[in-house]
Amino acid sequence: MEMTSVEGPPSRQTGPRELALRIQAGEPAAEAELFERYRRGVSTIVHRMVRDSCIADDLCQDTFRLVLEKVRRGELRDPQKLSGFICNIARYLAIEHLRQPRRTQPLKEPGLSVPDPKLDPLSTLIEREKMRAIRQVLQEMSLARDREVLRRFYLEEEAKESICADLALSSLQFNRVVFRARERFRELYQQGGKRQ
Amino acid sequence: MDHTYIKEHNVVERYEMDKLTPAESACFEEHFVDCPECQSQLTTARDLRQALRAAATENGNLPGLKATSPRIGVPVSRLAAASSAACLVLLMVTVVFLVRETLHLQRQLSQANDASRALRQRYEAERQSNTERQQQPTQPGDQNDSASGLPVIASVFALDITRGDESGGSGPADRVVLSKSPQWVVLSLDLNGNHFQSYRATLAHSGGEALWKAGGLTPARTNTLGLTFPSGFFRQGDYFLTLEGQSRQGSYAVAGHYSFRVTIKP
Repeated sequence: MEMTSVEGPPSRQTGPRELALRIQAGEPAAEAELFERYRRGVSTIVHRMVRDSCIADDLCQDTFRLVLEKVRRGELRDPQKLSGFICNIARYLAIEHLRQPRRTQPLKEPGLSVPDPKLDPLSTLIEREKMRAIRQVLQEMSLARDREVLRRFYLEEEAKESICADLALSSLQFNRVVFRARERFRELYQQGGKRQ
Repeated sequence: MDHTYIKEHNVVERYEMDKLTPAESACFEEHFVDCPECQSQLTTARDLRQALRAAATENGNLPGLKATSPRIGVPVSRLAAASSAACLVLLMVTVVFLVRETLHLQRQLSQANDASRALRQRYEAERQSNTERQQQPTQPGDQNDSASGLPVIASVFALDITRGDESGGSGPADRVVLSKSPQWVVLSLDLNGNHFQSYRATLAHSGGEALWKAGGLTPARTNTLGLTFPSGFFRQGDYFLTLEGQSRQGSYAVAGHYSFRVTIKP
């Protein structure tokens, strides 16, 4: 499980174009910067596709290896499009992985004990903290209408237009409700994380 | 794709819910892979959704998280009102139907009770009359045939075959003398050696008028054939009886003629 703690924004001293050019020039610090800058985004994209943290980590490594090789060799034609280039390689590797027959087999030996992720104390703690935060967010919402917006949008996955039409909300009001709830949730969750 | 567009169109949440088109998704990924703010929002949106889902599953009575019926484009309050009205109408129809059915059954029960009472009364009356009848002393001459009212005892008259010249002169040789009181009369016909399987007989008045006819008559072992009549059948006068026998081929042949005179005693 990914921790929700917000990391500080990476240094934006150079744009994608400059970064790509520095890598092409053989600057090791640029390669480290590329990894730090894109690691989280690539991991999110790959994990969303393969739904497995271990495989996502492997594919993430492969993505950066391939990206660096290609950039070094000058295969990135437009250095300004470095982000799109990285995304394409990450998606390609994830799709390739999904196309391949499974390399692993489920364990059949009855004696082998596999740890239950539900019993992981850290996961339990994080889940509890999320629950506490969401309860408080909901309790703090004075309007039942706002709670209904959250429920229908996040749980029932209704379209924004439908919810707005039903509750006589403008798009701006809707966005405000969602934004406030999300930010308050993040705030409470981070506070809880700091307390721990 | 810039932040204004992303915020305005809730792209982060829609990406998390997998509701973007592939093109939109690729465009957004190209942006957020290098955008810590969007990455953070995406993580928060995912956590928020997971927490809401867990809260709804674990404790459905959280404010604003009660499960609702599937939406079909009608507000919940209107839908609930329509459902309530429909339920009420259904309930009323059911009540009216049950009341009518109950009244109908009560009427049927009342009719059945009346019929039962009448039958019981009739049974009681018949039982009483039977009891009274059984208690009456037995009277002489009670041997009447229950069906016809005639005494069971019968008078038997043996008739001989008439020869050709016997019809003239003083009339028939055989006499049947009857009293006025009703009784059975058995005419015992001498078959005179005929051995037909069955016979048919025709009784006529001396004037030639046929009075009675019967077929399929079978003889007794004594080679006689008995014909039984109620005494009231006869009037005073001469009678002529023709007996025909049925051969094995099915044809009939005259087996004999019998004539007799009936006399009724005053």
